[in-house]
Amino acid sequence: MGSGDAVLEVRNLSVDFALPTTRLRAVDNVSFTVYADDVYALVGESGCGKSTLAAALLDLVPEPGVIASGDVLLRGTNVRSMTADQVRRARMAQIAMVFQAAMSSFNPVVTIGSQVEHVLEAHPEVWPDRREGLEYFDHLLEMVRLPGSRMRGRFESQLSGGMKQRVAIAFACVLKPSILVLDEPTTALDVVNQRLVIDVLKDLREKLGVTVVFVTHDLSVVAELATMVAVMYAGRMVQIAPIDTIFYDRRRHPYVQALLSSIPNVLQPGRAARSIPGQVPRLDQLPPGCRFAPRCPLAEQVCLRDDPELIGDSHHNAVACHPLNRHNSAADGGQELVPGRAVNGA
Amino acid sequence: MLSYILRRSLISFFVIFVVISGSFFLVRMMPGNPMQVLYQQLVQQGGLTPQEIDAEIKVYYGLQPHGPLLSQYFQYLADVAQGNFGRSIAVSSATVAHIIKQALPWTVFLSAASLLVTFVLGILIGTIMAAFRKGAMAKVLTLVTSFFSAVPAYVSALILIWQVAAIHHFFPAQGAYSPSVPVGFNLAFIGSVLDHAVLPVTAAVITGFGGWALMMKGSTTSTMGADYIRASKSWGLTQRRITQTYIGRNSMLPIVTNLALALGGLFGGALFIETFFTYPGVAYYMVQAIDNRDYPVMMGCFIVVTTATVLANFLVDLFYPLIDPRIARPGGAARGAAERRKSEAAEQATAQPGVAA
Ligand SMILES: Nc1ncnc2c1ncn2[C@@H]1O[C@H](COP(=O)(O)OP(=O)(O)OP(=O)(O)O)[C@@H](O)[C@H]1O
Ligand SMILES: [Mg+2]
Repeated sequence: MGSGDAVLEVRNLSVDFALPTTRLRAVDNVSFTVYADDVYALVGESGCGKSTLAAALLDLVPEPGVIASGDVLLRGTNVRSMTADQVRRARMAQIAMVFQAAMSSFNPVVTIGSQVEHVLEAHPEVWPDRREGLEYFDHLLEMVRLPGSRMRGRFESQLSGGMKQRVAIAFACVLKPSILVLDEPTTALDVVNQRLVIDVLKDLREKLGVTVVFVTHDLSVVAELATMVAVMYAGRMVQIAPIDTIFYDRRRHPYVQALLSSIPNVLQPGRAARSIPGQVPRLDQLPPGCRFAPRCPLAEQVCLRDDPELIGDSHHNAVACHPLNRHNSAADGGQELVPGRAVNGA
Repeated sequence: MLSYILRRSLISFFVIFVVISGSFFLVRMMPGNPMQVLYQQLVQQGGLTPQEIDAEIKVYYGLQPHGPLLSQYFQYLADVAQGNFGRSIAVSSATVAHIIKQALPWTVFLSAASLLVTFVLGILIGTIMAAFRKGAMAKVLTLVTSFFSAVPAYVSALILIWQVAAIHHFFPAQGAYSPSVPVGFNLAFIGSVLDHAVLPVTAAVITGFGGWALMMKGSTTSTMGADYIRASKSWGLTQRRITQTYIGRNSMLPIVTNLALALGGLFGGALFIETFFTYPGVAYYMVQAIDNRDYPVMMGCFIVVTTATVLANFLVDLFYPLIDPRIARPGGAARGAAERRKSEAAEQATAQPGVAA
């Protein structure tokens, strides 16, 4: 739970996709802070804006996306006021990214080793002697449980999916970044490789001291790895909380509750998993009140009418939910919410 | 790698063999077998004994007119292997090999020059269109290139001959060089050759460059949208490195494949151009031979053109692994990728008329 320095601070960040007819706000006024000791999980269903948010950290939102407003601070330095060349230098050297499509994030016609060299050549200040950088990459490959020197001569097409994911992780660490952002690092893998990636990430964090930020919709990975959790829904941050609050405290957002219930065997082994009824609303058809209200078992009249604010300390613990926040302010106990006045029924 | 080369050579040999056999049986099976026609003609002329007629026919076709088909076929294969294609019926006292030897360099020169200019111009314009794909210039360029690639070769050739040659006399529209200059390695001759090449090359370029440009634009645009391009940006690589090694090399892959296919289609394109500009290349003689029912020349030209096509493809197969290392690797997956790429390229080429012409 947040201790050490704030390595990454996001303030009121909004990202728009400017389509021919409309402008969709895929990330809406999001704030959060990642401290050096955190393993930060960004959670939400498909289409909630997690990847867009991750990409926005390094000003890499794909077209036609644009950062509409907000700030991204790397150890106090605002990325948004950097020159283009400063941003380029910060990429990978300060925040390294493993994209959701890690399977296809290497140039298919150049060996992995040459691509490492391209990186070293673009950041001469990190490894003035390129040979040392390459040796460090071999060392990283061994840390991700791959035979070091043999990987460098390979092409992307000569690696299996699980190997590619781990090569991509080792690759991302070659400039010793302070933050490693991974978008769905385990999603496309089988269970054995998922296990391997989780172990590798734990290792890297311990041995290299890199701060891990990862995006996922798999709460079992969150339970295993994360210390802090930020939950997104339809472009909004709906809850930011330490891992214990999410899994063991009752003051969790109904959406988080629903996510937990949709996963078998996390809380109560043996209980059947329930999928969340309905879908994430489309960004051009957002409901007037709380965005989750149409699917929420606790929804009240106020939820359908008014947009809830994220109340609390956005660095550590905050939630955007009318019933929960009223309840929190009334009594600081941990009583279970009863969906008595819910308009949607239970 | 060695087995790859071996495999490719065997395939090439096989294709050439099929072409030679095909051209033999095709001509032999044509209604009014040309050899029989010649035989009848000679008989009707009179004055020759049957032995003399047979000997005469043997001179033209290199075959005994009355032998069994299969032994004729083997005789033909043996002759062709030794570079003996028989004798022209229309052009007296010329062997087919001699005609081809004279014509081939002109075809190679004209085709290579046309392809080079077409390719370079198309790639340049395509790159510009991809780089500035949102601006007004890209829209105008797309319109212009689409228009030009839709103009058939004979229309642009006719307009050029009419406007540039007939009315304004800027450039000659006939032949490969002026008969008034001495043939040889001298300035006057080279100048005349270039002068005569301007119109045919221009005609080929006008129809051809648009296809290359659109293909290059498409390939570059889709490469720029690839995941590894965004990844390479997130690595903080310099724009120059990304453009050269990440976008450039990958977007050139399908283009090079198409270049190979174009090398094959090149001689087909020569057919139009050489005929329109009376340019003394293989295709010109082939068309003449068809008009004159000069079967030995026809078969010879046909075999040479197809063999050249197969060889061109073989060379490209040989060099392709240098740019796309996935191909020469042993194992089925790599070959699958190569062949898939190639068939994709072929589809693109057929979808865009005028690319190979
Ligand atoms: N290129 C684009 N053009 C228009 N809209 C886009 C584009 N990319 C993303 N979006 C929209 O932005 C929203 C967020 O997308 P994003 O990829 O960030 O979601 P995600 O949470 O990462 O989902 P997933 O779990 O599927 O990866 C989606 O509603 C999507 O429709
Ligand atoms: Mg995503």
